[in-house]
Amino acid sequence: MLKWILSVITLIFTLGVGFIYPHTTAPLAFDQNEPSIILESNSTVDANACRKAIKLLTQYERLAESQHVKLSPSRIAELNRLREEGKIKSSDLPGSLQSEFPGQFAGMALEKIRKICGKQK
Amino acid sequence: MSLYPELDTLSLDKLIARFRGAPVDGKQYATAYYMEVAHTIRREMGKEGVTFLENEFDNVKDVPRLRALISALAAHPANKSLEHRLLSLLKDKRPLIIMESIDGLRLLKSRRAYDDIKKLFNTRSPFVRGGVLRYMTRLYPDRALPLLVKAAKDTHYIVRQVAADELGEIGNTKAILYLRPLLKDKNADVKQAASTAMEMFS
Repeated sequence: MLKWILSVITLIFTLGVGFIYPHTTAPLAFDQNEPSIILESNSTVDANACRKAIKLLTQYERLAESQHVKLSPSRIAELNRLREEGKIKSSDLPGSLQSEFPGQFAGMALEKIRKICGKQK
Repeated sequence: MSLYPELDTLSLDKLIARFRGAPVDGKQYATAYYMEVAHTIRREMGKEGVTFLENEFDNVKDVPRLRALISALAAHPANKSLEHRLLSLLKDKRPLIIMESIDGLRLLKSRRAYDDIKKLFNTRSPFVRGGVLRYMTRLYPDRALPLLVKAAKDTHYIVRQVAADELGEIGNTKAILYLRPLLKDKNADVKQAASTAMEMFS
């Protein structure tokens, strides 16, 4: 009988926690496939890192040229397309610019970074 | 994906062949291409890739490939020997090799060549002067402002552009005073750099 009561109490407690705190069943914050979760739950996103990431993902052509790295028109056209769609990521950039990219936004698309950083297109 | 997606699935042997072969988009875009090949080797090919890039350092003579090696190895340093190589390359006669070495030393956070690098601000190449500004701002932000103020009035747009970018990085509100004139610069890239830098203080 006591065992049965304890089981019922445990079940009610578990369901209650799941109902009150539904995020406890969400993917873990350190899931490497979801790097944004860490940032989205972090209220102290570095504003300068935001601006730096957005700058690199939108002004790559002039930044590369300032280091005397000239990108071909076809590569620039593809980068511009990705930028306009908000899909450009640090991995699309020339290697020399990837080295400058803020690590916390690596692998994230421009659209998502803007959302996290509260920027409008 | 990457800038050259056709490289993404290649084996080390094929990437090596690409690094030693002709650039795909033509000579004027060779630096971007070889940098991408070298970065892919460094990023994807582990120790074997690093060994190839380090050994290639002694064989490569042309500017685009040497720059690519410096850029890839400095972005993910594997050992201390790179710093010694880059310090000696500061005496190279080719301005773009000097610039790439300064940028490499910046990525390595090497403070061993502060005096030599600061002196290089007096060289003719605007790209070397730009490299010096990046190095000083990132490694010595407290001492960089006078140099950036001077660079903001430089005759070459590349130097003014880098000065604007770095004034935005320095984290000193005094920079705003020197950014304002650059918002009206005759060069569009300088104006864009200054405008973006101003946002850093908003």
